[in-house]
Amino acid sequence: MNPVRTRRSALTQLAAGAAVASTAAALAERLAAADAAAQVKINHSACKWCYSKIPLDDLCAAGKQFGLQSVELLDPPDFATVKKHGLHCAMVSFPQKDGIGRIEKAFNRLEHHDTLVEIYTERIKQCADAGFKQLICFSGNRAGLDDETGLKNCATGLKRILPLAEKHGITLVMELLNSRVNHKDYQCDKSAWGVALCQAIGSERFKLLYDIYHMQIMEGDVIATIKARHQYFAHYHTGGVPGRNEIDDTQELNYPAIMRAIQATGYKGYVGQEFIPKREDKIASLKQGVQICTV
Amino acid sequence: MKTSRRSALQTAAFAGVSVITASKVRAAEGGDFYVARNGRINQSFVTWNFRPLTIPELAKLAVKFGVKSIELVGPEHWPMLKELGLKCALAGSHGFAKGFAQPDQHAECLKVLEQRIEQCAAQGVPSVITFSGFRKGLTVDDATKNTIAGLKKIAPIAEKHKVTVALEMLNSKVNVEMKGHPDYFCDDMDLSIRILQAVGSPYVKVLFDIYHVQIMHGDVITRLRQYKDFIAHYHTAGNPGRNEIDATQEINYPPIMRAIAETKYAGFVGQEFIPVREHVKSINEAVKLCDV
Repeated sequence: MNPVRTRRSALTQLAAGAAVASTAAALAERLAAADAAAQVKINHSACKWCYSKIPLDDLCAAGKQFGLQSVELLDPPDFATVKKHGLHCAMVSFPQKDGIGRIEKAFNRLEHHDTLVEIYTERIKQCADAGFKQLICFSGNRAGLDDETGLKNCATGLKRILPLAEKHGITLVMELLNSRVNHKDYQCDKSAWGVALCQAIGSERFKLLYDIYHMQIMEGDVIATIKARHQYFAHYHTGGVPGRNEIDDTQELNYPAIMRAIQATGYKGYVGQEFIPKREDKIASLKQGVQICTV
Repeated sequence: MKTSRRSALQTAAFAGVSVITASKVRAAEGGDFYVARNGRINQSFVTWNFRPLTIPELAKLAVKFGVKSIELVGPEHWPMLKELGLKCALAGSHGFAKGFAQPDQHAECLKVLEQRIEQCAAQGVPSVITFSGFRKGLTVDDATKNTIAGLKKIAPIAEKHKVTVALEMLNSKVNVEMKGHPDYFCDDMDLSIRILQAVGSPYVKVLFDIYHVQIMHGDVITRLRQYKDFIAHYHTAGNPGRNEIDATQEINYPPIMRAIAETKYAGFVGQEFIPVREHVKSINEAVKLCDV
């Protein structure tokens, strides 16, 4: 007999050994419900691009074994693959045309808006058809543009497509990226600027992607920022600092504590693993990432 | 199989004990506590944050836990430390509310520092703390110029006595007493380094408080590597809260300590967190986390 008597095994024995089977089952159900309510689980997602050498089909199959619920930053041709595995796409990738829509060239320039409206209109409809709820977008690089004008321009452009997003219940999510290491000159590089943009837009269908890796590089104070600004954060990404590799004890952030802080905000969305595995067995690194974030 | 940080540390600690006889004996004598044994990070205790433990009590704990220094204590405590075989890694001086950003405070700070540097030199204390003080409406440019001018006055004295003056960067963001200092001028590590470069003395450096840096900037390991030549001293604490430095908070201390050791840092790391749990146990856990 197992020396550790779990609640379930105790209840099972009780149910088997007495004529109170239905009562015990009901009790077990109530206890399970109470456990679930006490602990809002982090929903696990992984960014496809970090596993570029692994076929998406294999990534989905492997991920499901250890609790992965979503593979994200997908373009529409990949939607069917994740669906086949019963997985979600927590964040749909950006559309692009002639380079517009990409990280460097997006909503902070008025001259990009006509193209952005065109390509986001199509992508929003694709998201709605697939049943995916969040779509990523970017500010673009500053290229000499001051932060105030950049913010105003982003608001102007985004407001043109938000009515359609609202109609379909799709949230446009602008990613906060670091401009110190990976994306020099990117404008949406501070959470305060992103929050000001959310406030200028004033729609529940426009929020921010708080990338923990990028924001640790730009501003630190991760938990306090999440606590103060979580109402503007629709999604989270991970990555080890420095290096953007595994999120374990080789880097400076205590991810379990950060996940508990996210949980404490009542967050019901997904956390997307977006580190570049350094070790040979990339799937094992992803599994470790999911486990570290299971709190 | 997932190995938790705690169990990994316990395993590491156990392996360490089995090869180092002295540690083994001390651990066996005193029961269940961790003795620093790796020698890669020299640890020290700051004292104000561990109240109600007294300075002599902390000194005894330092000896027991293999920690080599008690810091930010005045010269009146140094003989007691010496008797216990401890150092004072960093001497206290004027408080953080006054400093070199304000020209009318230069004379007072210089007087305190000059006397303290002489005492440090006489008793083998390697460094002394200093602060910028508050900005009080000054422009960043003016406050920067004032701080450079003030530190340039103390630099020759520090050089003469070979005692390092450590300018502390503090966070100006958290408006809770002793957890942050709104309006403190020297709240930016990059600016602190520019000030030190302008002063240009090998005996005027910065105090890299990991807690304050995390609140103001993040990117801790990158910064400490980048600025290793300007760092006189380190402090610890958990964020948010300035409490225990364990897995309850966002800063992962063991990899940061490994990164510090890799910079060939020969100074001390002062534990400066405010325990919310049982003090002695939390202090011992912190010693273990930083003994990489």
